[in-house]
Amino acid sequence: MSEQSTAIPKAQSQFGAVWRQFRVHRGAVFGLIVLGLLAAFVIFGPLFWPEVKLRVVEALKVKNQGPSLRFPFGTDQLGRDMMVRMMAAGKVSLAVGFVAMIIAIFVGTGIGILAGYFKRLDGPLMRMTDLFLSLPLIPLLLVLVMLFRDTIASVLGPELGAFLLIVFAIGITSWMQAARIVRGEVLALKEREYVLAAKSIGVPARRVILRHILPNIISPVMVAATLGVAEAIITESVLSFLGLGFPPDFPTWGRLLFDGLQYIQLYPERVIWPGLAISLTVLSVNYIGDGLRDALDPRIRGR
Amino acid sequence: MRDASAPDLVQVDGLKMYFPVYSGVLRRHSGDIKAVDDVSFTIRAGETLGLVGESGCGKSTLGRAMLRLYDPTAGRVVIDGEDIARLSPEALRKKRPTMQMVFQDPQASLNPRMSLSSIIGEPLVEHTALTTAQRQDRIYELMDQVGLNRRFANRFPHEFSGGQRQRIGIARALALNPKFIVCDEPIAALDVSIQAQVVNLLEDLQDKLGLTYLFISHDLSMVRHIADRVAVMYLGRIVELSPRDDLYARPLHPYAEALLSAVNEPNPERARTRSRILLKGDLPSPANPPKGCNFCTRCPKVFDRCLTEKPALVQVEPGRKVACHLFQTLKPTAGSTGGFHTQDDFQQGVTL
Repeated sequence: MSEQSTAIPKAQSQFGAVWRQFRVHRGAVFGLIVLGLLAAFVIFGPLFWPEVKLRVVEALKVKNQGPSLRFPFGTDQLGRDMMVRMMAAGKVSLAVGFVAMIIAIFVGTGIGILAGYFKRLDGPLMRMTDLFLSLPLIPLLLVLVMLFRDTIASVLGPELGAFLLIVFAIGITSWMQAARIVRGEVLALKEREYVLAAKSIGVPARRVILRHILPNIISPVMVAATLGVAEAIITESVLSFLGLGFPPDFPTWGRLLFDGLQYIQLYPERVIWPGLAISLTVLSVNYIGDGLRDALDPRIRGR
Repeated sequence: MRDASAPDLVQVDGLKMYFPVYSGVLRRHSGDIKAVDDVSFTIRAGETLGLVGESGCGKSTLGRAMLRLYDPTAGRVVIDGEDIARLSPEALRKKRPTMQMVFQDPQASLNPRMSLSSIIGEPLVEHTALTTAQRQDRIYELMDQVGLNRRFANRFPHEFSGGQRQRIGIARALALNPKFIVCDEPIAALDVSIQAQVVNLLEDLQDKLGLTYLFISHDLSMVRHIADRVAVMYLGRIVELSPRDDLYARPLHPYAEALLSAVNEPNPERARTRSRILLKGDLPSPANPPKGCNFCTRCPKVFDRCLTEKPALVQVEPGRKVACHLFQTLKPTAGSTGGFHTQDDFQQGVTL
């Protein structure tokens, strides 16, 4: 026995096991690489491809150009370098997408868990969710932005102010789906015998939630989160299009998409670049979510 | 019986577990599902009480209400001197190590995302101040006790067979050295060959650690194997509570008689001649039980009094309690219980 007991394998670290399984998922690795390249493009791109200030006359000469060596992505109707604009836009769009998604998922998961686990909170919280779902989104955002834009802008400056306001507005209006999905899952999970077993051991509610419920609702949350990123990027562009998001000269992928829409028949590449960037982001985030979900599940990891 | 003079460890007194029913537009409280209705019994230290009955009669609810996984509607559950039904949440948490539960479905009772050692170690994390190394030692010790290889410690529940999973569940229940374990159909989801292993393991542990069991099952032959006394439940009430050998030799209550006639007889010679009592009709709804005896709608020996009056669970023979008017032809008066099986000596368990 002493021979045997010395041969007990050490507990391998959770992180190592998750990473090993994640690498097996080809789509997830592809997604991670693509998202990494996109992030590098928007963060480090401007260092290697600085914006060239042109005088008005020069700018007029180079407007509406197709892709060339000087302007790899072409220029827009005002002669601005599309590549520079794509980089600047991507930084904002990615930030808005991820931060808004994180806010929405945190609020949604929190409310969903509270409503599902504590019977007394179920009624009030879910009626509140219904209330938010029934609010017309765009008018609500309009009012929100109108009321608070100037106040926040005066404190934090126009760009950071607009960023915070938009992220907050999108986050606060898109958590409802996640809350409903999570509540349903929790309602089913809390009747499982292992939750009952934890209660019979005397585990307090917060640790039952953290240890037994949260890890087991990870897959629907992951799906909601990956879809949330795409939705947030698009919603931001809608807001900017309506003149309520960022200032007009401040590029985001959604904004570039809408600007390019007017010229789609003459210069389709102006729609294709931002469209491609948004699609690639959404696709890679989806695959990463898929891979993470599999990697976090010991039943799949063991195979 | 293991030790007839041992003190009572568990004392259940008038336990009721009603689940309210709300109906109508205003969701008004319109009635109750009487899952457990006025149940009283005691379990001596070191004893195994079998609890049998058909599906839906309230066996599991009784077991869960006794550990206060549900809040009982009324009654007392005294375990080791404290009334579980009335403890404050913090006191209840401190009390939890004394009483543990083994669940029916070994698949569902283990969190699929926790490794074996974190499952068995969870009660230790909650209730003890052991260091990580000490805890791991205790986990290994528990795994040895239930016959699991120590090398399984870092595996996950899906990698085990049903019998092994049930052993994990038992190890978790044992982690805090409980005195009383509710086994809620621990063998119902297992193969017959594995059932014997698990039951023998439970018996070995009882001998070694002096555990007290409430063994809930619908497998009558398994209960015969493990239990010292057996309680038969029907529609939320205990209809007969007798020592095992007496019950299986000569059931008193008509329902117990019908239930035991359904046990398979392994000897084909005798099986051919055995007479089965087939009950007619269905179990009445526990939301609307019959006015008189709960069993009066299906009882082959029903008579007038059964339809109007609920029989109480009274002692009719030494150590045997039955809730049936057949055995209470004399009106029970205070201080004594009448019946044609009455003996002079009411001392529980003396002649056993």
